[in-house]
Amino acid sequence: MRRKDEKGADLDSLPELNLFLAEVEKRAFMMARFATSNADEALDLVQDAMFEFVKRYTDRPAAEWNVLFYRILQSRITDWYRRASVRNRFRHWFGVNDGNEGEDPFLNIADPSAPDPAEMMSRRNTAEALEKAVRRLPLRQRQAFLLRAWEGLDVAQTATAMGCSEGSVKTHYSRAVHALRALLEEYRP
Amino acid sequence: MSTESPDKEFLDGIRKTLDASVDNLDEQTLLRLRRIRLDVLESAVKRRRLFGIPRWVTAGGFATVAVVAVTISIWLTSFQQRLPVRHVEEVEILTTQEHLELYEDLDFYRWLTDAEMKGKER
Repeated sequence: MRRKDEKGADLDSLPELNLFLAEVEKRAFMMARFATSNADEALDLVQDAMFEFVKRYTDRPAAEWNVLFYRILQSRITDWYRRASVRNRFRHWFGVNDGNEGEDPFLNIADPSAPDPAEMMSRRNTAEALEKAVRRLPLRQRQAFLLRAWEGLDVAQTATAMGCSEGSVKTHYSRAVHALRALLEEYRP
Repeated sequence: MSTESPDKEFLDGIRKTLDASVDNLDEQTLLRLRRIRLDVLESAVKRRRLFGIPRWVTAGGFATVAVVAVTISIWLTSFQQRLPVRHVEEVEILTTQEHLELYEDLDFYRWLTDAEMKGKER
């Protein structure tokens, strides 16, 4: 028998939903921050994606949640990207410069707990370089790379999440890996 | 395999670095993410209270409505079949607001008229 609260709402999937959201929230935030370079904007995107996900897809089997959630998030990121492009074009046309270069994302990263300062510095430099390199990727390449290499989605799932063909995913992913190789050459062991 | 190995190593390194970045997110961001998650879960509970009528209730409701509709239609059909209307002309008789006794005893009045006619002829 399924568990209900005092008003009859089905609560059986809530712990599962909580676990799922807790598992994806940090990586989702990072992906959004790679795109926006701004923690507040990234949090807004994650929040929008989570609300939309709960509204539309929590009735679907839990095995599909990952792909469906990332589909919404990537869609939100793409929308944000388009709006930002238009906004930047207008600013460029009208010569507006608000002096906001975007916050330094590494201000929000806590110091690693490594006791060795040299190792700490090395790790920090590597993380910085990687973040910069990932940010330099074109949007679609970055999406394909993060979903495939980091989130572990297969080609078909990534295509669903990105709303494009599997062929496009392979192309974007391959180009992303090549670009990152070139950008991170000096940090390779 | 030999071509995949360097790629794998390279990608594993990137994955580890990205995971470390996630693990090192600042406390404020983590709190805000937690707050967002709780808000989302609360909205999920509210949505389910509004729309989460159990499916068996919905299915049972539809089944009940369907059975009632069929029963009413069958009852109306049988009622219509019991109506003594055999010709279109008789509809007028049935729908008239006048006193129906004349039409119900029509055969009697015909016989009465015939009897009177025969009496006159004699």
